[in-house]
Amino acid sequence: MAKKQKKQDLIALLGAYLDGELSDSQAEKLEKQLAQDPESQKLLDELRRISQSINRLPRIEAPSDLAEGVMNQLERDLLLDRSDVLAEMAGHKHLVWRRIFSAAAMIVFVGAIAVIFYNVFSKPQNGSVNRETISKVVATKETAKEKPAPVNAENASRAAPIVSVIKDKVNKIKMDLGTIPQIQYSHVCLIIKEDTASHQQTTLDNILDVYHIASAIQSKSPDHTRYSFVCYRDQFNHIFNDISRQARLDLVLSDDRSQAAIVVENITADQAMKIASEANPTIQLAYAMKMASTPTTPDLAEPMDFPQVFYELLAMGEPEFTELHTLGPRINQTRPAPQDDMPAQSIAANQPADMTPELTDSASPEQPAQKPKIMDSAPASDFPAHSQPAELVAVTLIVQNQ
Amino acid sequence: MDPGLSEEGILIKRCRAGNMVAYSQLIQKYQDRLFNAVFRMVGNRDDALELTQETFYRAMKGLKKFRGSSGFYTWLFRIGMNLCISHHRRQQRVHMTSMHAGSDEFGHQADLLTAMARNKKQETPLQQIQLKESYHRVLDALDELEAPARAVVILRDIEQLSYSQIARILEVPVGTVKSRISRARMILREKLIDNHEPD
Repeated sequence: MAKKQKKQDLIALLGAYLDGELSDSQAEKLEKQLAQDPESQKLLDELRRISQSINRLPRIEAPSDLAEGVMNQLERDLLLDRSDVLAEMAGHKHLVWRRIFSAAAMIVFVGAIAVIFYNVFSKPQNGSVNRETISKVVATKETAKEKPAPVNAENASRAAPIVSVIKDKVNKIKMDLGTIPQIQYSHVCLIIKEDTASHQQTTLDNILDVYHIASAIQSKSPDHTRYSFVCYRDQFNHIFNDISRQARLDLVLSDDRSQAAIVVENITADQAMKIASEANPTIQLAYAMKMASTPTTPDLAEPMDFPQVFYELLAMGEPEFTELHTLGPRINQTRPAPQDDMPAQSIAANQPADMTPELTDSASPEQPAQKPKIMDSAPASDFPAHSQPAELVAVTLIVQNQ
Repeated sequence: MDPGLSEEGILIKRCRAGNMVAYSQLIQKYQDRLFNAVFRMVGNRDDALELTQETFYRAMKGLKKFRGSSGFYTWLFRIGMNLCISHHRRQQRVHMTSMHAGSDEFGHQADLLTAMARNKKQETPLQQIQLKESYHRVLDALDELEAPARAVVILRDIEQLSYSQIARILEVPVGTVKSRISRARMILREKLIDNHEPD
């Protein structure tokens, strides 16, 4: 027993010597001992060989999907409202920034709504704005220039710090590492029209509860209540169907580049799902233009706030703009038509003549637009070659008080 | 940006602010080392993947608690090794599994070792077989160690960490690291050294 203990002590000493854990004086003393003791020297050689054989075991590289799995898990937590992960990570500062941005967004939104209603009720002589025309609008940059709406311009400038900056920087975050999934979001903005808005709001709260949309952002004003949330496509489908049983739903789409806005009145579930399944705003717009009929002047002051939805709901914290990259040119170049609904001609060709340049000038034909990586689970085959199937839908519901 | 922060410190700061890109960069930086160490702890690729992912997930979750005094790597390995030791205890409760022999993982390990041996073109076929056998013997010997002892050996001989770093990762005194590693080496010597003198 004592012999075994003595051996273990010697192994500990020799091991510490091999591992460089002895002081200079201890090492020197041991080396003298080793020179006089072949048994200890042999033991030292054995220990060295053992360490070397373990060290020489093949290094196993991490599977390529390891990081993707972690990021997916974190994203799932966020979407399932287990936001403690990033909330803990971001800490108090993160919450403070969220509150500040929420408050700023609320101020901008209330201002925008006030401006719209001022326009609608106080300036009917403009001819371009009333409640009815909100529902059937297609506008181009050209027409917007011909009929400038000062109030909208004012709103746009007020919204700039949040909408423009975050839209530019956050809307197109590039996960620039190959193993990180690029989740594609579509954005769908719907106006719910019903006479008894308060009843509608209660119903809507219940519907969102039923489908576990726990992290919807609700913005209330005297005239509107806006809900923003992110959900899966299936959830969106159910939510849409439940709401559409009780109220009329109008789809609102806008494209910043072309300054176009379009409203599809009384949108059907199929139409809504088609829009919700497509993350590429240009293709969304093309679908919507096919669904809508008469082009008129727009009167929509930032009805959608996708970057804010993204920012708020994914709890990304205050974005560090230096770390964010855009995905490159927006995929707006002429592209093949969607399979079933679109005729065999380009989207640009399907649009009004004065809109075409705005939709086609952003990417040159020689420089094909970068196609972001899409989640494996996205049913890419169901979509046109250049489309960006969306797994998730950022939804904005605007309940109008009538 | 704080000029005093290291590149890693900057990444961690960004992670705390909710920057997922920064976190993915941290994962990329450490995933191979951590996965290899975890794989050597559990001896099974699927378990190693799951435990490594869980380690990064928990690290993200607890980033607020990370003080930065011992380095992100140490902190990450602390989580990883604790998960491996817990996993080992769970496995022992359910059933005893070998690190490779008799399990599906055997095929993978064997293939890996064969490939490794094949890559050494200067080796003769006989030497390749000997090398493969040698790896198997090492893996068998590691398998004999209790999880805490195996962790010490892996951190020392594979990760080349000092005793004090190992002590910080495993949250034990340096003396415990010394005694664990010497006991582990005694066992390894019995298994790996032919004709060693009985103690």
